[in-house]
Amino acid sequence: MSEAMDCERALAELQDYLRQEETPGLGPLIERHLARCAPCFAHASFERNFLAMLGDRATRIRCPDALRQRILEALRHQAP
Amino acid sequence: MPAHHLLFIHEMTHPAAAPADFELEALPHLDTLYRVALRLTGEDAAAQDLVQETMLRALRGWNGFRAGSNARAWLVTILRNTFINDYRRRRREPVPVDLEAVDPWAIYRAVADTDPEGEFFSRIVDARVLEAVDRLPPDFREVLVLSDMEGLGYAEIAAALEIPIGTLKSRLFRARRLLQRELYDYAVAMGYLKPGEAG
Repeated sequence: MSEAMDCERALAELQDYLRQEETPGLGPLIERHLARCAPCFAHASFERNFLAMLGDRATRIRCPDALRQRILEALRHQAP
Repeated sequence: MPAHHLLFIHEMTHPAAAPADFELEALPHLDTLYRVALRLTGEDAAAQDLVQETMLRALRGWNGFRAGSNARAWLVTILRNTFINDYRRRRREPVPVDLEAVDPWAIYRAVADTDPEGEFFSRIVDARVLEAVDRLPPDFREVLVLSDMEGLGYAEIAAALEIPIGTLKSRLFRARRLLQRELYDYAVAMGYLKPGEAG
């Protein structure tokens, strides 16, 4: 695991890495690359903010109470 | 060891969930199911029907659910299958986009000098972000919603969609690129960003 990773490879893995889903074994190599490559490090902040924004936007929508109630009644009607 | 013995052991250690547990296991995921349904169907009434149908099917299939396994991924799989069978043809979908020729990092390059942290993302209101998500081609939209908006793991999503991890990763990669471009164009149009060289 001592070979260095180039920018192209690091960027290709970047978003999966930020979701903790990088190709197995590549995590430390990506980390090392980001630590010593300023352009890729900056790019990582951009992608991290993009993913954080997406995750944050989703959770503000909730299942409507009326639907929840309707489902509960349907479930209890159907259950033996 | 013969396969049926392994299955027996699996059933001993992972018994079928008790019927009474259905509400306990399934109801906490209604928010996720509703949000995914909204993005898949594109409208509230259809999303509500889809969620209700999903829950009724899940209850009927509850015997097949193994206690201790991932109820959210199981429910999402049912929701998606129900959507494909009963709802997909009703939705008018955007025209597929050819991404092959596009520089994947064009958006970052366009903002690197003026907004390297992507501050403009946080200025775009929820409704506009969701509209941009809805304009993604369906194959891209569903993986992006499940992964980046709902936080399901890649393995869960690949299993639910019955696609290889490599296919999932490639769709996600393209979905994120497309969405960044949509949001960038919107931010430029709104004056949040100065137009740059975004390919």
